[in-house]
Amino acid sequence: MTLSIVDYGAGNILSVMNAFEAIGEEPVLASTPEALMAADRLVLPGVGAAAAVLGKLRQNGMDQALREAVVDQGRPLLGICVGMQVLATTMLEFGETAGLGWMAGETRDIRDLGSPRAPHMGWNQAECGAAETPFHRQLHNRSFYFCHSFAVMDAPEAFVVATTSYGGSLTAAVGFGTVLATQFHPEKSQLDGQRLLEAFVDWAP
Amino acid sequence: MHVCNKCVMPETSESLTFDNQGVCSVCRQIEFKQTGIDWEAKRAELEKIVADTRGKYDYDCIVPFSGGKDSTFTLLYLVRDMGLKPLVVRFDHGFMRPTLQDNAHKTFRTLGVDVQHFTPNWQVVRKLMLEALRRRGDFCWHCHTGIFSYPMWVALEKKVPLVIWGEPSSEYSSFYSYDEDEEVDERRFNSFVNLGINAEDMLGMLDDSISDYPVTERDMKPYRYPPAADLRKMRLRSICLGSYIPWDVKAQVKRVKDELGWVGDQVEGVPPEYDYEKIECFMQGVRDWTKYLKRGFARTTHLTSIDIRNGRKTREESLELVKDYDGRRPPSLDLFLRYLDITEEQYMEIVSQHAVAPHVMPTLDEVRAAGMQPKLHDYDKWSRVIGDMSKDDQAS
Amino acid sequence: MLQNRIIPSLLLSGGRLVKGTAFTDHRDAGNPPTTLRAYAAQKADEALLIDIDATREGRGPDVAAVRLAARECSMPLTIGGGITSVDLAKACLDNGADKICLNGAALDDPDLISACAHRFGSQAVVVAIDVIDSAGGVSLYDYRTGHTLPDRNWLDWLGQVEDKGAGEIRLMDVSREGGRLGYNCGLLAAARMRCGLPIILEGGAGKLDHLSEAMQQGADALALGTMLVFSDNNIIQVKRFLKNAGHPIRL
Repeated sequence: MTLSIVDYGAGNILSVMNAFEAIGEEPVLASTPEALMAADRLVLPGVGAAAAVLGKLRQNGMDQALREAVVDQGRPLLGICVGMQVLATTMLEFGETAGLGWMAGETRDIRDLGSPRAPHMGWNQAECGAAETPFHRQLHNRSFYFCHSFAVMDAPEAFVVATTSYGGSLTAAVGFGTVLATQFHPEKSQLDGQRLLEAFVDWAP
Repeated sequence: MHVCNKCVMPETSESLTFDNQGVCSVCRQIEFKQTGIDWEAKRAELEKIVADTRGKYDYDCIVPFSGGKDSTFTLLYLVRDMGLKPLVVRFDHGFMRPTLQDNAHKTFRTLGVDVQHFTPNWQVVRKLMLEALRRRGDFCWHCHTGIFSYPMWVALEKKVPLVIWGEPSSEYSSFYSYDEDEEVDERRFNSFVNLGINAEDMLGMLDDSISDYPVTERDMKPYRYPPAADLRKMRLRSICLGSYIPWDVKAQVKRVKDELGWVGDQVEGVPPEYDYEKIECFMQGVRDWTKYLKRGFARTTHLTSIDIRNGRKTREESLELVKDYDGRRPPSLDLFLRYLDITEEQYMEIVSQHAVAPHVMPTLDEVRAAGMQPKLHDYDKWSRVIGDMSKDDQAS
Repeated sequence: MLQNRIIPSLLLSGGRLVKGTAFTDHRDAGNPPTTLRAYAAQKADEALLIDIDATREGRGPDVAAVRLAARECSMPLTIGGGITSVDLAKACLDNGADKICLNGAALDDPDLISACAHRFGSQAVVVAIDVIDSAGGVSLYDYRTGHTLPDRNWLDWLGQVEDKGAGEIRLMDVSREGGRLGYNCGLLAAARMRCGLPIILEGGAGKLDHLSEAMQQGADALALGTMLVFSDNNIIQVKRFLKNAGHPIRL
C-alpha cells in the first residue's frame, strides 16, 4: 500500500512523514502528477496563505492529478489544514480566490465567525453530531491541535463530520466521497491524532 | 491535606485526583473494573492473542518475573490454566530476599519453566541509585527501567512476539484507566515508568560522587527501551494479564500459596497481616520511607486503601493502621546509606528537595523521636558488599 | 473550547539539555530527543527548545539537533536561540519546528518579527520577553548581556511586538527562574492591558498550586522547567490536577 504525501512546496512535510512513520507506515513523497497517480492513498498537507498554497498546487498539473486520483478514481485522501480549505469553492483570504471546488463552501476569517482572536491556535475539542460517520470514534470529544485564521463555512451539512467551538462554531473536519479533511493537525495531535491517522490508513471507503 | 473520602490515599499521591464527591480516581477505576467490564469477553480476547503465538516459536511468551505474588500468580496462570510454554525473565535489582529466592526456586521447579536470570552491573547500579534519588527522590530508577526494558530486549533477541505482565497500572494509579487497553509499551514506559528519564538522559547526569567507575552507553543498555520500530516490525504484543482477567490479590495469593508453596514474609513498615506484599526487595522499606518523607504516606496507606476498595476493611480501621505503621524509620536505611556512602543528614537533605506540597517533611529530630521499626528476621543476611575493597574490608 | 497548555521548556547547550537558576548554575538535564520522547508520552501540549549557546557562539540554530528533536515531538515544537534572520527561521521550520522563537534578535530589529510573520504566518512566530521584577518595578532584561534595558519599557515592547505581527508571547520573570516560589502572576494583568496575544508564562513554578493560580490569573499556557527536571513531577499528573481545579485542559 503506497501512502503518498503530496509534496508541492506548501506543506509541513516532515511532521506528516514523522507522524505516519511513528504509526509504522512507510510514507513516500509525491511531487509529480505521475507519483500522485501511483499512490494508493494520499495526504495533502498545507500551511500558509490558502491562495499561495493553491497557486503551488496548480503548478505542473498537480491539482488535476489530485482530482483524477481522488475524485475520479476514488483513492482515499486526507487533507490537513489548508489542505482542507483548498477543497472548497471559494477562499476569502486576501481577496477572493477560487478553490478546487470539490465541495461547496468558502473560507472566511474566523473573527467574522465569532472567534475572539485569530489565529485559533492551540488544543480544542472536536464535536460530532449524532450521525455515525466513519471517523466518529476517533473524532468525537477528542482534542486536536488547531492553528488557523480562516475556516471553511457553508459546506454541505452532510459533509461536516466535526466542529469545534472558538467563540463561534468552526468546521473542524469534513468527509465526503473518499475524502477526509481536517482543519486541525492530526500529525501534531499526539495519541488522538495518531488514532485518526491509523483509522485513515485502514479506511476502505 | 485532602484524603479520599472512600479509601485513605492523600492528594500528594503521584497520579490520583478527587472528584466532586471527594473520591479518588483510583477508587473510581476499581468501581469501573468491578462493574463496567465484560470479563468473559476480555478472557476470550486473551485466548485470541495467545493463539497467535502458541507453539510457533521457541517460547509462547516472555514472562517478566520478580518472584513476588503478582508475577508468581501470572506465571502459574499462564502455565497451568493456559498451558503456555513461557521463557521466564528475571531482572535482579540487587536486593532479593532469601524467602523470595526460595519461593522462586520452588515455583520454577514445581511449574517447570526455562528461566533467564540477569544481574546488572552493581557499580553502575550504585551510581544510578544516587542520581535518581537526587533527581526524583526515587532511587529505584534502575529497577523501574530495567524491569520494563530488559525483558523486551530478550523478546527481540529470542524473536518471541508476546510479553505478558501481571497487573495493569490502573489497579493502583491513574496514569491509565481500566477503560483503555494498557499496552506495556514504550509510551507507557515514558509516561511514568522511567520517571521522565531515559537511559540516554541518565548517562549524562551521572557524576563521580560515589565512585569514579566509568559508566558507558553500553552499560546503560538494560535500562534503555529497545527501538519502537524494531518491536513493531516483529509485531510484538506486550500485555497485562490483569487487563483480561479481574485482578484479585487475595484469591491469587491463596492460589500461589496452595499450589506452589509460596510463602509470605514480614515486610518493613506494614501490619503483619500483609505478608504477601512487596516481599521481593529488601530496599522496600527505604523506598516506602522515602515516599513517606516526600509525600506523607507510605505502604500501609496504599494496602489498606486496596482493602477498602475490595470491601475488606473500613476506612476507620485503615486510618488507625496508617497511624501506627506509616511514618517510622526502617533499619534498612542504614544499609542504603552504606551503599550510597552518604549520611542520614545528606539523605534527608536530598529528599527534602522533593517534598510534595502540602506535606511538610519531618526533621531528622522528629524522625528520631518517632522511633525505628524493628529489624526483619533476615536483616543480617542482606548483602553488605559495596564492591569497594577499601570499605568492604571494614566490619559492616 | 480552547484549552490551556502545559509546555516543557528545554534549554539546549553543547548537545545536551541543561537547567539552572536565573540563567546560571546549569546542570545536565538530559538528552534532547529522549527527554522529548518522555514529555510527549506524558502528554505535553507543546515543547519549547531554546539553544542557549547559539547567540554567544555567533551562529544560527543546530538544524541537525532540531531534526532529531522534531522526530520525537508528536506535539508542536517551538525552536529558539540564534534565530537572527528569516532564512535561519526557515531552516528551523524546514527541519521540523512548528514555530520559531525570537528574543534578542527581535530586540535589536523588531522588523524581524514582521518579516517572519509575513513569510510564515503569525502563528509560527513566538517572541520571548524576559523581565526582571524588582523594587524599582519591572524592567526588560537582555539575557545576552545579563543586564536590564532601562531605556526601554517592557509594556511598550509588548505592544510593539503585537503590532509587528507576533502570534504569541513567552513571558518570563528571570529572577524567579529555578526558584520554585511561583510564577510572577502580577505580570499577566499588566500585559493583558497592552496585548491581546496568547501568553505563555514561564519562571518559578515549584508546585501544582502555582500552576493553578497562574491559569486563574489568565495565563494561556505555562512553561515548566525546574519542576520537571529536578523534581518527581509528571506532566500527566500536572494536567490532571489542573483539570480537576476547573481549568480547560486536554487530558
